[in-house]
Amino acid sequence: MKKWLPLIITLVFVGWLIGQIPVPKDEGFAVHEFAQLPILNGGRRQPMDSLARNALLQMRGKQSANYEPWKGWYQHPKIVSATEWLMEVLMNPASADTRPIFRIDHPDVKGLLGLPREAGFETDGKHFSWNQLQPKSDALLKEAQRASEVASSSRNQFDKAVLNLWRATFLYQQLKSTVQPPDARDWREELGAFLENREAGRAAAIAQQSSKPYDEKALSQIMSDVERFDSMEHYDEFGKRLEMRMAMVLPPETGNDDMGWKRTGQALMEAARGETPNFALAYYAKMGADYRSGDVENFNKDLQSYRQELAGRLDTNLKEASKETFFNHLQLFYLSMNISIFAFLAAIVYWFRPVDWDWLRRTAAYLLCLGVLVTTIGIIFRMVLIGRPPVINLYSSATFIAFGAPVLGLILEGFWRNSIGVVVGSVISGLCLIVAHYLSLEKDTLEMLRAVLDTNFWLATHVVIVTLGYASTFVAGFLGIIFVVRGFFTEAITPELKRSLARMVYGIVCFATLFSFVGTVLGGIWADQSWGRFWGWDPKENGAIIIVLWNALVLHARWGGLVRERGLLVLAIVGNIVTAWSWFGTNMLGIGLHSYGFTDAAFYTLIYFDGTMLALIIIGMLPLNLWRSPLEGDTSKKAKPAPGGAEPQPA
Amino acid sequence: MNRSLWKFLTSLRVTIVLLGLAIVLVFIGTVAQADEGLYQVQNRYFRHWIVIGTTLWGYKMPWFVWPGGYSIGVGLVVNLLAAHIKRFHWSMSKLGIQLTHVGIIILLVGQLATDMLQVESHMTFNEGETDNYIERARYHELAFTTDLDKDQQQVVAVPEPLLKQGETINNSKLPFTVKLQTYGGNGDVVSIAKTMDAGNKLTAALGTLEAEFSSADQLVPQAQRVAETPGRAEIWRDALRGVGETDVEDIVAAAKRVAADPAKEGKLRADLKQRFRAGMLMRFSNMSDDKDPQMASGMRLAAERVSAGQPVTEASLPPASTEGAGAHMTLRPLPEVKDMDTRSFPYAVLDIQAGGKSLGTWLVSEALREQPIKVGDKTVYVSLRGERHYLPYSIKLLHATHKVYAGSDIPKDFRSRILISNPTTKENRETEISMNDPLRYGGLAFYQYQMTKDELDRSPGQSVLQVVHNPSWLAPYIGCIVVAAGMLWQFLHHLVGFITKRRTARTA
Repeated sequence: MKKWLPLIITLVFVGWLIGQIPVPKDEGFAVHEFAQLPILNGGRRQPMDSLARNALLQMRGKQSANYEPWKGWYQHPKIVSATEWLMEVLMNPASADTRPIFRIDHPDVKGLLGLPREAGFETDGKHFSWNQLQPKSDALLKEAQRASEVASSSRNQFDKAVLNLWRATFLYQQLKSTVQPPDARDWREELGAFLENREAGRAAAIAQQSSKPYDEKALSQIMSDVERFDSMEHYDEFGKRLEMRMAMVLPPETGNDDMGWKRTGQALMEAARGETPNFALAYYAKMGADYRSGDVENFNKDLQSYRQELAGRLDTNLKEASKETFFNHLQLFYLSMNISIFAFLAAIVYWFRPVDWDWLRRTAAYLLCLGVLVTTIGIIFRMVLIGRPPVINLYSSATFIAFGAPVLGLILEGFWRNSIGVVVGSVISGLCLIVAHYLSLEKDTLEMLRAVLDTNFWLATHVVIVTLGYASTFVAGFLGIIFVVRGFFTEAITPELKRSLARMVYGIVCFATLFSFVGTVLGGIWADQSWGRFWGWDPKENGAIIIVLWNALVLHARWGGLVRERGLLVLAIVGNIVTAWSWFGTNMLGIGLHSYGFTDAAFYTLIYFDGTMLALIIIGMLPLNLWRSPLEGDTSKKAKPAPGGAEPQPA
Repeated sequence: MNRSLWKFLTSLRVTIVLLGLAIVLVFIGTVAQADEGLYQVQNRYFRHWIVIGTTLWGYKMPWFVWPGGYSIGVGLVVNLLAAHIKRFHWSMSKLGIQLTHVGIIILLVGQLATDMLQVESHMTFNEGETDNYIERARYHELAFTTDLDKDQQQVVAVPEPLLKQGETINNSKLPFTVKLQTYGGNGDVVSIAKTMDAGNKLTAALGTLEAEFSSADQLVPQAQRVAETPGRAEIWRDALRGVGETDVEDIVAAAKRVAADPAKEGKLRADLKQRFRAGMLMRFSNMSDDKDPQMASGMRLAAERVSAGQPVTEASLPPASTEGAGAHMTLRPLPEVKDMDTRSFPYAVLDIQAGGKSLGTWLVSEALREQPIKVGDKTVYVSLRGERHYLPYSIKLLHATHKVYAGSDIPKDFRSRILISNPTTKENRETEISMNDPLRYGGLAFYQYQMTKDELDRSPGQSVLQVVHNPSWLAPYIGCIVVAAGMLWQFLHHLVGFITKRRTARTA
């Protein structure tokens, strides 16, 4: 039985994973179909679903919308999918304005906007609707303008909170102007009237300019139409300065070139100038009218015929959009994070086992394997979606460490079979996936790459290798943590286990040195290829070289006999501080990088992390008689030079 | 040599101390960038022997003293070389370590050489233009050119360090002497006519505004006009709230109420005038026009004058010089910029003297083209430009490509198709330079520069190539390969040894 237990438990998890695959069926509006509509946003093809999820992530930090946040989960609050929410924003903004989807935590921001600070009747004191913010939106704009003029490095919490909220509200306004004018009462009707009057209006305008008699009614109608469309375009014009361009929902008239996509406002303005109106305008207007009147049947029919219209010519866009929607739905990294947690628990329980439960250790290892598998699928899926190597930005570096560290952990587990590798792998993987989640709140994680980064060769070599360097340095560091925690607080660390740990750390540090060195130098060569300078002392480069120097220092200290096993393990923990700083700290200096929201929260997280590491280092240096593990007496004499005895000891 | 010194030089402890010093230096040199900027940090921390004083996270630490990048680098090289001389012996198990260290020496020495020998310049040209020179970044020269015949020019160039206010320049090749009347590190050269034009437009617009709100009975029609425009309507609502109106959703109705109340209407009109005036000034001073940058700077200057309550008249805009382009231009001195992304435009006003009398003054600036100075039958062209170095070949820009991703402002692709013509080698060939794909030719490397959005808007058909002369550019490539090979050898050697040992231990 025990022999099969690990496999059975793992299969249970596999079953759970398979259960996550099917997409829930839509009752009523074909939300899932709508989610898969192709659009162009942020310079890349994507589905409506991604627009919706990324918007909600920015506004409330979740990929779904809770319309009744004041209810506890047991009261079944109304939670809708991102696309369901987006459909309302796009096609029935007046109703969307009542949904509490802006999350505000800073008490002074609530004060500024005159919002309740505590939970009360139909409010949780954290989530607010546009209707609640709107009366004080001038005050918000004024504060945001002031805050934007403060240098990003000297903005305080309030400034940042105000800026974030303002950006979120701006994005919301943009969305409301994405498929129809936000103030439209019956857009299908209004669009029809505009198109009908278009020619007469243009003729009237021309006549008026040449002081001939003109049709006053037609002119005033087209003028007011143009003004409305122009104000839609205004959100895009203004967004340019904020690097927040509006989504393009109208596909090209002919062909399938990305350059042919248009914003609704843009297409309407062109139509007013006399060009043929984009074919998709009518479809969106029809869907909007059906949606507003709750006509499920016709909405689904119109949606279907729009998709059919796109089929053929825009098949690639449709397919890509469906793929990405499916990827969004799976949330593979979230699933893998959950599995990591179970792997970790199983491995920890194994350490405190009353009898030798090797099946539990194997279960932990199997689960971690499963977790790595899911992460790997996630990474490969992303690679397929964007046609890029695994690491393209900070977010994907986090997911990649969440892949690399447990792989190293599993290799260690294969050699030592004491569940240490599993613990280290699952902890790093879980933490990195949490970090990745927070990074995804910032912006579209599948973003397009600027010209200088647009090179798969360097992304695949330099970036991947440097990230592996980070991953392996973290693995060494967490091995050090296990030594200190278990050694100081429990009796688990025997002299022999200590030697094994030191050996693991030594081996990992060797590879970390190799990866971080090669990765860093490749980065320099890339810089030489694109700017003609190998090394420019910019923060990220410096972060990378510090890791190399640190690993080199650890190795030389070991070779020189300056540290023995315990010293090596404690030094490895310092490596965590060094790596965390290089990975994130360098982004927080406010040099050449937008430091909004998360980076601020990240700053405190980094401080806590470093503080914890320092505490562990201090504990690690306490005299051995204070440790609970019996390590006293087993010190220098038995300590051998490093495996392989690479470097001669100084005389 | 002294034995204890030798022992010290070859000691591993020294290596560790040096590595530790390096880590702290790099860390501090990174954090200090927030305060000092990258450029100064490079020079003060890394390209220097000793660092004195620093500012971290806003805290000044004048007492901070640390060895600089040069000291640590040289220390590491000496330590490595000495250790190698002492411990070198040929064996397979040591091969990896030896290789690694040789590679690191190559990297360190190569980097030092780069630091001392590298020269950075650039080439800026429009499509169809041919250039045979490169310009140093951040170095300027005052150039006097005379056309000798069709293909030849005589150039007298005065480098920037010699350009100081009050200085006199005499050169036997020049038919005149030059006295530097003014010299400034950064200044905007603005067309007087355009500023006047902008000033008139602004005054007219402000006048209309004044007229629109001159009496109470204009409030309601004005409100009717703007009721449908979201932006203006919001300004109205704000102002209406300011005079105590609570229900401002319907602007026209609210305006009617206020217009009927003499106590409020005057305040509302004044307030609206103030708001629209501020908006107008803001629009003028943030103006940027891709097609007519001169107009845009004129508008900025006009807005600046009007906001400060100063007049925009011919008298208040004195021409920068009596002759040349400067006769129609006025100078707006600006503080010199220090960061890496923007640059300063130096300017000078030259008093040209010949035969004992002044021929007038000329304004030169990088923003102006070269201007002719006629002395007798001779014409000398004067300009203030980047310091030039002439190449024995010429490069023609055939086509510049700048792409962004559809519907975004994210730059996608920058490339230049060029034609190299070299009379010595009789080469006449086309090639392409793009980001991450430089051209190496004649000891120089030409890199595609990614222009900023502003630069692109200003000059669409233009391309900038960064030109680097670095004789030691190959060192990092070789160093990296050698170190990587060394480490790989060493660690695999360990790993194989370790696995074999475990195998034997387990089977035993």
